[in-house]
Amino acid sequence: MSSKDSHRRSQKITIAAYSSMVRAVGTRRAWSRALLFKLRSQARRGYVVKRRCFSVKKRRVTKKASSGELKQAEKLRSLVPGGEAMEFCELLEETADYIKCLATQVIRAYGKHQKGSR
Amino acid sequence: MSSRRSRSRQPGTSRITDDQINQLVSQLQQLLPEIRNRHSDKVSAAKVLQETCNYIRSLHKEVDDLSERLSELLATTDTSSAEAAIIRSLLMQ
Repeated sequence: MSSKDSHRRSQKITIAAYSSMVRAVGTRRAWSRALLFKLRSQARRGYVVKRRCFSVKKRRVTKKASSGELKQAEKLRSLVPGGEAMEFCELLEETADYIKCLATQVIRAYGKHQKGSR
Repeated sequence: MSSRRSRSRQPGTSRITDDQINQLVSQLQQLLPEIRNRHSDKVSAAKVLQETCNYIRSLHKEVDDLSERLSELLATTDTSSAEAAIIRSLLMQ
């Protein structure tokens, strides 16, 4: 099989993984709602948008401290779904939940993979 | 964190205390495999955020790697196996 097919297949698997993660969490989390929106837009469009699209940044109250934190917070916003529009405290809470779900997903997948390769 | 000063209150927003932020940051720190065991006084908020970014990136990468491995497994596995059928039906949605 060509590498393009292989890449497309692994992309589908990735999307399935994130979809199941979002379905498990539902809409109770902002990151989950944002990711759900993104996945649905992707499905409608039929292709994945590469990063680098400029999102409209909602004016948010930044409660802030040193520039080191600000810089890291900006990076974090781009990593957490929906992070661009979040206030700092919300960003911290959502990040914590997002990390827990991601880590669980990975551990579960590792377990399945090991089982399958036996 | 000790360099925080009092801020002017923004109209229409609830006051968020430094304590709340410190608590959220230390909560985050507990989730990070690299620095969760270090005493919170020694780890700055900026460092926690930085490690968080690194951790999220590594988790994303792991998901991609696992997807690739699963993809290869599907390519090589016996097409009549029940497991492969289940996985394929999941992907067809």
